[in-house]
Amino acid sequence: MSHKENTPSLEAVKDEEFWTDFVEGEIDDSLKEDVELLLKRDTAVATAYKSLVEDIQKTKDIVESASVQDELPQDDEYYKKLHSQIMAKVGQVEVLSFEEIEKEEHQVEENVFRLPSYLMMGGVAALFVAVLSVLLFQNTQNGNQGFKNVANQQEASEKDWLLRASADNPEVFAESILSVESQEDFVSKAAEKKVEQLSDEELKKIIDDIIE
Amino acid sequence: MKADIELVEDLKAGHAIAFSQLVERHQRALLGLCLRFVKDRGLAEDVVQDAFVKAYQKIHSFEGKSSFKNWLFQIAANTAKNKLRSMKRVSVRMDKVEVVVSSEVQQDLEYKDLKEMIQNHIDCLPEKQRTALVLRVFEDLSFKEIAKIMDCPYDTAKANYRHALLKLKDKFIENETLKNWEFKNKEISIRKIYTEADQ
Repeated sequence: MSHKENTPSLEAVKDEEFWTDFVEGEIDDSLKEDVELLLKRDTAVATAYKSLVEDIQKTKDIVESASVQDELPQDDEYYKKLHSQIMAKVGQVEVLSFEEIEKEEHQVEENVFRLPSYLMMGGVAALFVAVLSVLLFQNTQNGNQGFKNVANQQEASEKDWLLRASADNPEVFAESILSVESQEDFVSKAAEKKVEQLSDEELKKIIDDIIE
Repeated sequence: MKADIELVEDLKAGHAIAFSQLVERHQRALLGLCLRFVKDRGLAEDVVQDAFVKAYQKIHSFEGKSSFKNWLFQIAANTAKNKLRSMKRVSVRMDKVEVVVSSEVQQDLEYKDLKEMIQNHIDCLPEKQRTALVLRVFEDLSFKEIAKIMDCPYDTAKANYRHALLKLKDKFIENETLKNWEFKNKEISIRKIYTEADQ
């Protein structure tokens, strides 16, 4: 590549990627020389790129300044102790043969490949449980409704029967039935209901009977 | 003194004592690397121990394509990564700690606080970008070596590093303290700048 071809265009050098490579020494020497020449030009554009290069370099320096080197223990005793601890742990294990390592790695790979199928199976199982739950819920709701309907029907027919029976013979009926209501209340309610349905003649007859 | 590769061959041949020399040779560098990832010395020691144990057990898988040290770094980086996933780090900001201190100690605390702030920005980077940055800036490794440790293509390693550096650049520019941080030369630390400012 000729020297001229290597000279970066202004469009190319606008790229931060280019300048990071420049700071890191990741561009070839001849190109580097050209870029340095470009930076030396005292134009506004060159100044802008100079500033970008300085910012990148400064960032790197700031990161470097957060080194942990001064946090590292310096005394030899510490490292002797660490060495002993490592060797003690190493003493508890054995060097694996090539076959054992391959087997172990194969196992890991298998697990990695199995993972998606496990996830898929888990997903299907979760979906199945969800569908089952919805169906059961609906069924329970329907069941409850059906049960309520039957109960309502039963309640209605029982009420009619009770009212008829109680009206025919209120005192006997009240004695033979278990109720949370008191006997008087029950008889009076039954009578009240029946009275609503009675003709004037029937009502008069009952009143006469009671008076007698 | 035997080279690493010779000690590895001795170990492969059944001379377990060779590993002791490898530990002695690399434990300090490995501790520095692990400390950078896990931040806590006790935890870093655990990672170092586990990494050496793994290296010992799997020494037959070391083919010598990279240096033994880089191979160790790769194991340690993965071990640290797994350790961090199972840990919940708790950090205490220095400005929330109320202490009465002398100006010298105050300076030291501020220096530590600033350092912690930089470290927090580094910690916020995505894992791969952080790894590439740490290996490049603190371990001074080439992108080829970083790519091997991170088990990724050369361009990916470089891109991860570049993204990390440019993200930090934007963060540091936003930060008043760091924006005003004057860099004189590579030897000057933040501590020294504080001293100069006081004078």
